[in-house]
Amino acid sequence: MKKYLVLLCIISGTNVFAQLPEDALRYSWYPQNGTARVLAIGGAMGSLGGDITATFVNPAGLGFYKTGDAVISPGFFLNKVKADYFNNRTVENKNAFGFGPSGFVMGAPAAFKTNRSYAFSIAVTQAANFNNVIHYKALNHLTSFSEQFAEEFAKSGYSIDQVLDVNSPLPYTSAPALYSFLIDTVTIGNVLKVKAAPEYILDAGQALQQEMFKTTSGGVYEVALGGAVNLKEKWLFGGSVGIPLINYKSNTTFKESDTSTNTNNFFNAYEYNDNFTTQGVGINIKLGAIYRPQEYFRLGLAVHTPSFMWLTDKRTTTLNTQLENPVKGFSATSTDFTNNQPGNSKYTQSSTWKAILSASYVFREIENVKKQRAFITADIEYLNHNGSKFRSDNPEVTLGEKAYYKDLNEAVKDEYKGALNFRVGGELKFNTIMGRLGFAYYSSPYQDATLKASHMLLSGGLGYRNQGFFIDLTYIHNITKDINFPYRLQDRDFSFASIKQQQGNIAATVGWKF
Amino acid sequence: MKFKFLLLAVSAAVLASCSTTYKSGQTPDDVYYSPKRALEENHNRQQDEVKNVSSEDREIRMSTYDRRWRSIDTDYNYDYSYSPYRYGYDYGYYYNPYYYPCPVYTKGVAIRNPINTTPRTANLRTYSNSNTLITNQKTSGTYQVNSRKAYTNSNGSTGSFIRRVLTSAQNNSYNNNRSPDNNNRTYTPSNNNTNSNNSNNQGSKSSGSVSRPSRGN
Repeated sequence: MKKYLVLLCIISGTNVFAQLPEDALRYSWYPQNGTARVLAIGGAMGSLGGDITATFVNPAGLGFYKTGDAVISPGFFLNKVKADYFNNRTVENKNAFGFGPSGFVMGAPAAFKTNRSYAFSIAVTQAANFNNVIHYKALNHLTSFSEQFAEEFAKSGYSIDQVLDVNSPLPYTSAPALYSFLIDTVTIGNVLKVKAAPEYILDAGQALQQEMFKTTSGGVYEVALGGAVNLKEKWLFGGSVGIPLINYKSNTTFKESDTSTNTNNFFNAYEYNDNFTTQGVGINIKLGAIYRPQEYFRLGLAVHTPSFMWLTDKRTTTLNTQLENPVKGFSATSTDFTNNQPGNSKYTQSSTWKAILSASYVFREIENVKKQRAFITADIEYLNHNGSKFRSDNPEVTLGEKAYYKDLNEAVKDEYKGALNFRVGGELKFNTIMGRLGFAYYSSPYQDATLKASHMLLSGGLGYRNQGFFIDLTYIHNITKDINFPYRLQDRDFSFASIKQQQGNIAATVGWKF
Repeated sequence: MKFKFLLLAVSAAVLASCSTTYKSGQTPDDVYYSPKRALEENHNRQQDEVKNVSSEDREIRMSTYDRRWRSIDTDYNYDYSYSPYRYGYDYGYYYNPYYYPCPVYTKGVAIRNPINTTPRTANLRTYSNSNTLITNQKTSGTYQVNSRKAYTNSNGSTGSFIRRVLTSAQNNSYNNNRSPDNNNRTYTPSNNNTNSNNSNNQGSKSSGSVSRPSRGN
């Protein structure tokens, strides 16, 4: 009961804590994945159809199939990430394997109805690839990373004993910081205040050397079952049920150190490690229609429901602090404050819905492949990044938790916005050989125009199709601009790093017709 | 990672072993045009021939060739056929090896420490909408922006002044107007459990607390 009262005090007071709004963006702001052929044309698959990628974009496109496909789509990512923080640039590289849509499509004419055909697919894809690295370091004379702990503890209304409980309400942040004396109470002008040790350096007009190193891995892997019907080659309708499997791993190390030669100013250095995993499963539905007003033209519309996901976070943090005057080191780990086992938080998250409008021009929709010449296709996609909703799924949900998640949903709504994405691409076909080019642009999900963010993808590829076998190879160059906040403060100005990522993606698709 | 490679290799081998009807002739491209498969076309042709023949017509036709068809009475809907998998004439009595009429007790239930379910936390006030004072490091003045948060970016437009100050400084010492005393960070526990834990003291402990080490002097 005491804990509930304290939680309610926090809510009614000036400060509210909850799951991070950034978690919403993780499951909405990433480029469309596809087979190598689709990636080469910018990922546009809203109206073109005839490819297994349609299962994940516009399932009506499966309706073009009257034959069968079996495909696998391996890929390889080469990441080069530049981070600018207080005018200091740091560059890191990270490579990773991935894969696009792989599985089976089976199409066949209807048994007793002419001018009608059906198609079904079962496929798996890596919808999002989280393999990345962010590294930056610079001198900061304005704020300290540790001030977020001081701020959190001061505004929480908890006593030191409550925070240092073996089942602490602030086990990952304030508890290790208090235990290792990175933050502590200090009397200033007869008032007992909470102060972080690095603040002594900043108050003296000197700078802190800050360094952040964050690696992430995993992805969203989606298994989907799709089906479509083709009515008189005029209207195609389709739907798919997707089961996203979420596996996200994040390891963050943040270091701060005193840059002065003064060994009597209470603070030398600390290193904070924050490791957590998010795992879970979800479900979503995609519905679509394609209309062919006349030969060569295809118009498409698709709507994706939000993915409703059941997620579990497991988290541990460690903190090593080196103090001065007297010189002494302290180490703390969050498991000391979570009953000697990693913290385990369960919650549900519904991601964003999206709608895709698309058009294609296919030059010569004819059986003789020697006379098939080219196509051009384009998608416009609307996606509301601020539509994500969180809810606690812990076995015992307190009133405080309910209020946390309600405020979090409001914060997500305020922080992000709906965005338009654009994909365009085309192919030239020379009997068995094909050449392709594509372009895609994903606009900023942030409400605040100060925060520059976008994905721009340029792609090109080749394909070969003969003797019941096909292979496609594509290179995609993804230029991503984004921002990264190492920490946020309520009472002081805080800074962010500008991220510019150059990602090369080599994608291949091998397939057999049956 | 090795598992992924193995999975890919096995998948490729399985798929490659699939028989294909398109090893000779043209390979259809479903993006442009998807033809009916050769086998299906033959099948459909046969279906076209018989699909207009009703089952009654078929029975009459067959009965002219085979007398066994003459005794078939399809109007009789009761099913007295024997099935070895049905027991008790479908009255719901059947043997279920997993059903046992007595409660089953499991033993050895492990008792564990309660799991800490605290979510990852963020101060949502740092995302919320409020007017913010941005500090200009060059003039030591401030200006108000209608921003939802207070951030100073050394790389962005609002933070260009900070970059100049930083790059010109050589001794890591700056003339900032950071207020040393933050009056918003007073230690005021809500339950009056105010164990004074000044930096030179060792904190007192409740029964459930982790003991802080000595800070020393």
